[in-house]
Amino acid sequence: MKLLIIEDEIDLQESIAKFLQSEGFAVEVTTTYAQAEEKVNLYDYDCIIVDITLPGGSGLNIIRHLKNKNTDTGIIIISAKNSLDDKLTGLEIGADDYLTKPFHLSELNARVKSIIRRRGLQGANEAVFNEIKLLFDSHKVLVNDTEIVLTRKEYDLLLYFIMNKEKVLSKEVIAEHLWGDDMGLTADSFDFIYTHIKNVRKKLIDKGSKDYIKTVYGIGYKFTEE
Amino acid sequence: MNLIQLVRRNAIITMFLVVLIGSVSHFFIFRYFIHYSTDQVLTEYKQRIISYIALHDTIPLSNDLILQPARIEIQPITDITQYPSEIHKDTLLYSEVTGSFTPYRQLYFPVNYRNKSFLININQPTMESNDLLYAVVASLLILFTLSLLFVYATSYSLKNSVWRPLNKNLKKLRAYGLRANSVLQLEKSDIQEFDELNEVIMKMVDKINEDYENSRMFSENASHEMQTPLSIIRSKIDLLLQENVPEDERISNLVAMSRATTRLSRLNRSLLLLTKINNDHFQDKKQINISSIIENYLFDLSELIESKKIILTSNIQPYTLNISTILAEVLVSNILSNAIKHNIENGKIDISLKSGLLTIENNCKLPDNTDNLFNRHNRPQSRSNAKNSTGLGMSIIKSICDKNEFKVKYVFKEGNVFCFELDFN
Repeated sequence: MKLLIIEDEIDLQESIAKFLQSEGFAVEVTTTYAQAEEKVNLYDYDCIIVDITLPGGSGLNIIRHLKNKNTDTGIIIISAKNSLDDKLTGLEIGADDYLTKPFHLSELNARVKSIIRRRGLQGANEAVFNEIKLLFDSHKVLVNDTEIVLTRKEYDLLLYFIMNKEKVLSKEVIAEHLWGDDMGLTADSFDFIYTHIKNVRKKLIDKGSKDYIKTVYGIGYKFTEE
Repeated sequence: MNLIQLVRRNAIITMFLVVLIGSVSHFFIFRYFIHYSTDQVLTEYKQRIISYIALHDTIPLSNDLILQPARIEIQPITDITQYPSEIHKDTLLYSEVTGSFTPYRQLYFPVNYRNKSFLININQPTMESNDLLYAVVASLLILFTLSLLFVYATSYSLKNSVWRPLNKNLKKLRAYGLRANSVLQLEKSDIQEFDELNEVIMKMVDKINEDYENSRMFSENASHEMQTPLSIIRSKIDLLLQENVPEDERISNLVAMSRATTRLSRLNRSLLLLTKINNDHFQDKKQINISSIIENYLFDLSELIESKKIILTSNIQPYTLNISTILAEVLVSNILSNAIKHNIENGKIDISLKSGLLTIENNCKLPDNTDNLFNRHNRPQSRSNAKNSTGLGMSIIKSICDKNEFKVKYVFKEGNVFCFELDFN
């Protein structure tokens, strides 16, 4: 899986690259419009992550350029502008997703993976982690081929864990993924996450799965094979 | 009570008083003139009687007159000296025909006739006081009613013509809300007071609108500019949260976070300063020697200039101007730090200040967008060389110049030379 990150903010670019590399992606980075244009002309990528305000031009033009090339590249816009207009323009000209800065790297990771999956590049409509199998089309979860019934939030949670396996996810990150901006409605504690995690864990174990969800003290959780 | 009702009430009270006093005075004036004219008639009769007596040597009297009560009556008197030559009197006399008393004016005068004295009185019918009063009151009442009608008619037409623009404007003001690009257009009324009021209101609304727009822009820019450092911090935290992060990586992440926080605080300071300038917070103007400020700054920055191996030539002549001290320093520091920050290694800076014209020429890397550096939105996005800059320097310079009515402009010359001109005059 080859990704291109077009982001002029070096610190941010490094973080994204590092995180996605640890997920097993081949990551290339570029900072300017001209470089980005050159790269998308020369190579094919599975997914590009593009900032809108770039030195030398707008990221939107790169998207238009890509669409003209008629490639099957997935596109995620990352932008500091949180305006509906920009979002709509971006999606209209062919971006697959729009992520407003500041975002969590695990969120970006999950979205990249889901775009790649949706574009059929993984050839499968399922995610498998040992004995756990997620069927994306039917939103079903199988453990050792027996179905377990999860609520929508529980399904999202499990999917997010599997997308970000071996990564420490803070409670805040999980809450933001599941509830978006609404998570601000609850008090500062994210203890309500615990209930969901407990339920998912119990349902998985009941059907004979191992307990993959580990608590990381003081931070959050980690989905890991160890 | 609205204004028109107040005016109307006062007009009516005034008119009522006028009518009241008017009817009393009219009554007395009319009565006086009626008496006066009756008395004149009586005096004339007296003259005729006296001359008749003198001419015909007889007293021309008959008591059986047709006109009852008798117009002339005579009674003998003994001593003529007891009576004055004329006595006027009001009296009521009984009329046998109508069977009622009617008011008469009487004139008594004594005459001598054949050594006998007579007191003659002449009666002349006059107007009844009651009748006079009724007439006066009635006519003034009509006048009063007419005036009432007139007042109401006038106030009605005023309400429609004069007050309509005011009412319309009131309605507009009530419906007016502060929104982006909402313009308040008040109607002209051609009445001086209302137009003045409109003018004051418009001025106020414009000021409020401007402030509102400023604060809106501030929050918009602030939120936009803050997202980038925030996203750096957040992504670094995400990385740090992972277990088994090597020590050197951990430190470099922390350093990047610290850089981002520095940028945030700089940004915050610049945006606040910009808002303060735009809201006229700096009013303490005094005479300031701008040339010494420039020289001080060049001295302070000399290490930085040397570290970039920049060749500095300056020709600064003394010049004083009337400006707030803080703003003068902010202005100079922004201009000079721009010239250094965007300069290249082994570049040049030429500074000259001649009779109020500050010119700075320096080498620079050509930005992507040279169109309008003064606008916060159009600032060059090449952050790679401007990590510690908020991009607000030019906006601050522009705002200070606008507030103090300095002319400012820049051009990009051949060979990557940035030429900045500031006219203090």
